[in-house]
Amino acid sequence: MCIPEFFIIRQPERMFKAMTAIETKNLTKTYRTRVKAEGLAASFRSLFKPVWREVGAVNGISLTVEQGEMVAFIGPNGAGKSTFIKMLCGILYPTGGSLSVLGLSPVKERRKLAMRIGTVFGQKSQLWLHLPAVDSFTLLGAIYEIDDRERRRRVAELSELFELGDFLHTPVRKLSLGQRIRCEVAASLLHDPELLFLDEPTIGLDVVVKQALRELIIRRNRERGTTVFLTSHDPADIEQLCKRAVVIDRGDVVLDSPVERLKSDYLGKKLVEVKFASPQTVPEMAGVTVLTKEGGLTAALTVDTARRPIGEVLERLSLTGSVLDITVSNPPMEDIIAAIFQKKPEADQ
Amino acid sequence: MKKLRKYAVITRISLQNAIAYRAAALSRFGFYTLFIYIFMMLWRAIYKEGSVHGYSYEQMVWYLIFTEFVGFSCGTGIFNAMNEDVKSGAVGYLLGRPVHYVLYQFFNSMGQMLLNFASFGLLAALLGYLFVGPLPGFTLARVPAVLLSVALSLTLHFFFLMLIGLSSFIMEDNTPLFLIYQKLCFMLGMLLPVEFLPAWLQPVAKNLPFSYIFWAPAKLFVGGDAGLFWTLAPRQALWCAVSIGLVFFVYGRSVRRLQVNGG
Repeated sequence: MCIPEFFIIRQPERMFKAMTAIETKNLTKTYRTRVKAEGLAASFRSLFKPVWREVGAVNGISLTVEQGEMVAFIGPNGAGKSTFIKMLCGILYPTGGSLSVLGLSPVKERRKLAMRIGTVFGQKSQLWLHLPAVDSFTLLGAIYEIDDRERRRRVAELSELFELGDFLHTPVRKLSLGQRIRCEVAASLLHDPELLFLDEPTIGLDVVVKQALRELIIRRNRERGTTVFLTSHDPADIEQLCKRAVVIDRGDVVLDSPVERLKSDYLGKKLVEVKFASPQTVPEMAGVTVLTKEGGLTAALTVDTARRPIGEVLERLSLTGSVLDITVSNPPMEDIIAAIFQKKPEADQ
Repeated sequence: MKKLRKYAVITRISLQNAIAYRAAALSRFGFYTLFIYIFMMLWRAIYKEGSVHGYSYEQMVWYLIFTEFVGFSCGTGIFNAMNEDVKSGAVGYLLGRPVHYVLYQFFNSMGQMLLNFASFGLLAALLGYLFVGPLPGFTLARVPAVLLSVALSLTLHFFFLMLIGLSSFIMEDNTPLFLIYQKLCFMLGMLLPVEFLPAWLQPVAKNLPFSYIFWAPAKLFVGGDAGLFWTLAPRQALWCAVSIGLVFFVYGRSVRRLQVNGG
């Protein structure tokens, strides 16, 4: 994959300035919603005497993200992820608490901040549906005050990276979802932002484009020190892009830990796949669950490392004398996220 | 300079987008023609008795053609677009850009308005000539004053529609506000000249902004003189300033209460 030149030009002032990219203290956002009981009579009552309820979308989140970090911000639907991101972008005003993004106040300096951040809301479009994407790029170039020559160069490079050439001049409404989202992401990178808010960026993308996008984001982070704040339901996005994960539920942070620790702490399990030279039965061990049939040439097992150290298991397997290959891996992120969301960590079970 | 240029590009791209809607433009032409024809028939029946309130039949048809031309030039797209942006959550993208939301919406609508102004202007002139012939007493010397008055009325109409559109930031359904505004405009100048209203209502209408959207430019077009221009245009300008000021004030207040659907 070819990385465009403008993505790999180093900016020393950005690379080496130790700075906090995001800082929030007790940030809250409360919505007022109308509550109505079931039935026609309740509808009439509500007409004359409406009942309002305060709903806390974000309930006192304190979070610090250093410049250059890649943070996964995960949680179930309705947890408050998008509301939190929109407050960081200055789109929504907080109800309480304080926040600073790239040293600026999103509330008071929204437009100044907008020049330095990029956003992708995977399920919303920023492109003009009846015009080709290239026209939207022209508009965004003007909005972000990029001169025409530079904009043309960046569009050409993004077009090459995301392979937009075939449909760059096709009206957006006639593009497939995958093609449109490729255009959306390219549009968000046009002004080379310092901080990227990616809200479900890979939704609807095919595997190849997802991978290309991840590689691009990693490269930008490494070369330019770009901070990435990501929400995604795709575990591969989180595993491959982020070193730190912040998990929220009902507007509160329930976990803030390195992605690696998240995996080991939450499930405390390893997945072991073994290939034998001759049919074998895996010896019985406490804390080990065999997932495949006995007496085969391959076996898959899960190891609860809290009850049985992985080294012991590997030792016992090697004693069978016919092991050709062993692979030890972490469980898929789907399982980890599911366990956190359900608040049923398997380690506690 | 770059800051000004961005708004010019917004207008250019929105003009390109408006041109891409060929089928929509043709259907609006059809609707405009049908509307004028139906009301022309109505006025023909009414005018069998002679002139009404100082307007001849030809003047009345041209008045109708002109007010509808102003209405179609501005359209109501801004109101619908702002509502849709809030409902779909797309407003998040707009507010996250380094542009002023109100200015973005104004220059973004300008493309469609320019196209409407040119195309409906030609259609209006064509229909007027075909249906009733040239407007009696009209001279080219009247054009600059009429154009200025139309520019003011389009600005006034646009900012009132935007004001109602902004209410979607805090109201779940703002359609009733729009309907009330639409009916006030319709009755206070769009369908009927202010002179057709009951005597007690005429001074009221002349002190409200709605008459200055349709009645003022149409009155100048069908029979205005320089004196009338200097009476009406300053009032139009005053209401423009009020509506623009209100939009910026309400935007500043309502954006703090915005709730974006879908998170």
